[in-house]
Amino acid sequence: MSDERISTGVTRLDELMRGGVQPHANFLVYGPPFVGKEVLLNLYAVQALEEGQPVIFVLTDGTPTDKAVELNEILEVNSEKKYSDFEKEGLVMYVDSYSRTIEAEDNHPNTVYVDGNVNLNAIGVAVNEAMQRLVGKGEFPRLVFDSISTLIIYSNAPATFRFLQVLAGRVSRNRSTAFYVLEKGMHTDTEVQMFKHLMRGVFEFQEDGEHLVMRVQGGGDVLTHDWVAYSYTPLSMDLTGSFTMSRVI
Amino acid sequence: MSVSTGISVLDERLGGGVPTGQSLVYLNEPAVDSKVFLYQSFFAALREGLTGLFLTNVKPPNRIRQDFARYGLELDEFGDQCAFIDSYSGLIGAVTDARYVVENPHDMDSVLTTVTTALDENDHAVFGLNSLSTVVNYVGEEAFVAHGDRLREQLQRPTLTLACATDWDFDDLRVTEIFRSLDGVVNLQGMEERVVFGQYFTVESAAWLDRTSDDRVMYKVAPFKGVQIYVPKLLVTGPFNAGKSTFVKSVSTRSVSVERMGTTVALDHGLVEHEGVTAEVFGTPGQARFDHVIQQLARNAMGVVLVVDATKPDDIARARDIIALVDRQGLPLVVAANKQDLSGCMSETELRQRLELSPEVAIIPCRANQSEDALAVFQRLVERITRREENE
Repeated sequence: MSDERISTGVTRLDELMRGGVQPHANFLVYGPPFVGKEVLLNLYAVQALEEGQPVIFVLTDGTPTDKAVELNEILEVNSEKKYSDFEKEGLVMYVDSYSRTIEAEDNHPNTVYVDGNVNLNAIGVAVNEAMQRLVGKGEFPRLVFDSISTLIIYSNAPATFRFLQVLAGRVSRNRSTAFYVLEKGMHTDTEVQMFKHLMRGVFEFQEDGEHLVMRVQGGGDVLTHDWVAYSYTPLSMDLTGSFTMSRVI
Repeated sequence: MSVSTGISVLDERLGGGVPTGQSLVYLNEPAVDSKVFLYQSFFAALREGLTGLFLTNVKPPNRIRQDFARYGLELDEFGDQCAFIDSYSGLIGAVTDARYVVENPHDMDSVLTTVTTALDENDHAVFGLNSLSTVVNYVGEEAFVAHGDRLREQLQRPTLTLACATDWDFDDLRVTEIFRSLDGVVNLQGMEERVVFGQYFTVESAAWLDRTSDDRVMYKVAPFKGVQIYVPKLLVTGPFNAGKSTFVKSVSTRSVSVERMGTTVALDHGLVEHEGVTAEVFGTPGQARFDHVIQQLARNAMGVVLVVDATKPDDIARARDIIALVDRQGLPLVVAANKQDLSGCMSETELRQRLELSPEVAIIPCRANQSEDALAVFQRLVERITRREENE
């Protein structure tokens, strides 16, 4: 059980993490805008679907239709399956707290709509409903939460923390593995620390001069916690920097 | 005079409704929804002729109207008799046509000033709040507690105050003390295993009653119908000849069985009423070819009793298969280790090891033909799903 790992969808990141992330746990994806955080989330979700595992997207700033387009593009490149096939199989659920705030259409299939981002309990109720509808489908359900930052803007850090504390507990009880986005530069260090404490691990992204670097904090036994260079396109991500294998026995 | 909550099963437990001059809060656990209780009660009070004032801080008033309508409650039929206090639009800078508008929802003084004005201008009012906990989310715990007395004072003014609130894990315990200082407190809680799969309510307090019942009333919320009383299913399953039918008979207040040659071929059925909890009991056949029956019954089930014959180690493999089946459905489970009146029973430790059970699943030694034993198993299952033992 303790050796079990779930692929992140990025091959060399899996290698760095000795197979991937631990199941039944919560991870933070933390970094400034425009460094590819969403690419990691998308690859992570696509990987799950290709393994036949269900995925829940909690969308606070985008519509299910937008998300479907992104994932379909990734699948078109390296899979025989279409994203809509997975949607039809009922492997995807959305919790959408965005569409109704912009008066967009609210009729995407497999979506639980929430009226807005301030009603934290309503989001919690909706996530629970999505989880309930997926119980029995797959052993390692995934959850992608994009983003915590939006909730903090609409409410505040303590209220969002209380909400997330409950959600993180539910995620492990439901044997899910969740990735949450937190934007760097929008919150105080104390707030960020608070959220990190709820997590098993953190993927931190950063711009370092001309380079993009990332590191893994926590996450159990990993090859290195140091910064490693990476590159990405909207469809892929790769760790380009070296990390020592010397500690591998 | 008492005003109906619009939910008859709750009225019964409140002594006929909420007396005028009183306040009531629907206090829900996170991930349980209380708004429909509030909507139904508020609507019932409008029907009694009270003037409606509805404070919303979770969505715009027009969305609240749509919400009411979703449960068959048309606010439009009351016209001017019902007005909104909009403590939402100010947050996102939206325009609003509400009669009362809180300029700055992040400021407790601004909230209270608007509420005071609205109550000044409306006699015989039912004041609805969706929700009290969201007020805390906006203004912060400190400001909420600091204005606690002023808030309580306002909540006592209307003919009837009805609120909902989420019982988050607040740092300052005085926050929930303020929620609970309303005259009546109805708790809404979740039945939880992997997810919250059902809800129940209890009346925690009602100042106008000498004593409150501690019934746990399970319910579901349905479109147009609103809060519906719900009788959950309990599955009794296990290997062939483990004593399932006997268990169903003993645990049930009333029961029937469909049998052929003394073996259950379809199912046993009964109704349990015990310690304020009512459930339907279904005994499934034990053979693997009936696994689809288990899966079918698992929908809407509240939990599973696995009956095993503690004297038969050979049956354990089948029992393990059933456990895996139940586990996939995310249902709570207790194991009844039957035939304790015979010699050669496996110990609890041995059973747990052979069944490969995690420590949080209870194994209860029992004699399925004894009602008290069967009811103890039932009780244990109810406790497991309603008391939320941490199983992390």
